Amino acid sequence: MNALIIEDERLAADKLQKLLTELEPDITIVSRIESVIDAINWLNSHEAPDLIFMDIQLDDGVCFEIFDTVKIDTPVIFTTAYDSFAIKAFQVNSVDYLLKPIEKVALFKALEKYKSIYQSRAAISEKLKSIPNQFQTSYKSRFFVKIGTHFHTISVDDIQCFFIQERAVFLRTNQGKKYDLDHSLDQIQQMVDPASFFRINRNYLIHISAIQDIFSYSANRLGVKLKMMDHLDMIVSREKVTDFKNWLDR
Amino acid sequence: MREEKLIFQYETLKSQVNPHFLFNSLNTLSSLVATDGQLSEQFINKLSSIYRYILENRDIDLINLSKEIGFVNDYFFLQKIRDNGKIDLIIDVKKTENYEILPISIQLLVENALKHNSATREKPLAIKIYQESENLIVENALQPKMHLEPSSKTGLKNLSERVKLVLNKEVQIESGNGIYKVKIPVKQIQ
Repeated sequence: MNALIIEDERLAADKLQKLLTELEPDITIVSRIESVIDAINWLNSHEAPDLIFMDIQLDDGVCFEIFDTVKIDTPVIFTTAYDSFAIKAFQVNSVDYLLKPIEKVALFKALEKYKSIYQSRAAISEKLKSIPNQFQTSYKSRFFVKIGTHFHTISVDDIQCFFIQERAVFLRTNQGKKYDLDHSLDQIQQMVDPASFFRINRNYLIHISAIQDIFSYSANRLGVKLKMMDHLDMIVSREKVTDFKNWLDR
Repeated sequence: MREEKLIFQYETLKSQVNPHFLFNSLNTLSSLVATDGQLSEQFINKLSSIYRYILENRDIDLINLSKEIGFVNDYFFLQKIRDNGKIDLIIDVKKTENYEILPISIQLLVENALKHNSATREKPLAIKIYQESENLIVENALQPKMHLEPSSKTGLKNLSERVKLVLNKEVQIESGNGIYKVKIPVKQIQ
């Protein structure tokens, strides 16, 4: 377990670290921080720890200033000598509120509480993530579409891309025909094989074999052109560029 | 008049037996005992002196300046162990035996300075205490904590009223050029 200690008194931090090491021999104290400003800088430049211990009164202000500046999803155990901040502490991800001098039993209980809530939650969410993979071994091979009073079925290999236009979702075939669908683009993305289809941005889910050209659009961004298609907004969003390159090169 | 005085005494007691200070000190001590027995003993002695001073002197109007300075030194000794390297107190007052001051007054000003100002390793806080004729001055660089909720200033307000009541003089506050100064009257012993 990786823990961060935010505490302005060295001796208080020493004591907490000593108790933690006794109770959790596997714990790693990733850093000890004494001020609001250092906490903000640290949290902005490091991977989030598993747990944060936080004193309320710090060298240069009250710890809640940190939450106003950095988004913190990590559970927090607050430590304080005597304060009326408990209510405020519960508005953030607090596991517990420890009073100084910190008693070993109280710290033990706080750690147990953390484990029962957050570690089991993490385990469950891991399991939930793997469920779709277990069930969805086969991807959709055809889409059923309606044109006026006629019905068609279109093979997935015949589809160039799926896209959103004026809030409606369409598929476009290799022949340049366009059909509207009832599913959302997010749903379709789950249905089709990710080896063949890639969601380049919010509006486009494209097939690998439909790509005619890829060009650099601006620093860190790529543009895509599909065969026989002249849409100009097919830009790979910045945060997806790396995944997109990996997908092209798998 | 009697009633007013009682209120001040009560406020002093309430603010001085500051639970935050007491529990933080106990926490520091519980860390210290494991590593430094001698310093722990000193810490306990100073902590006792502080509380004894408050209990014994909170009812009196004036106390010898040398005793009040001694009390401030004890108080700061504990703070310095806790805030190791981030705060400093410079006292430059001579002939303290010849003056009297309101008890627990300088300490309150020092505590206020610590409470409202940022004191980090990169930017420590220095507090100076010195005398100018009939006034004692507690001075610090103005480096306010971030977005501190506005202070009620109860402690300072009560102190001003006590000074007026006892010495018939004013506490003066000067703030400018990055310096914060409180001037508190002292009384020369005849």
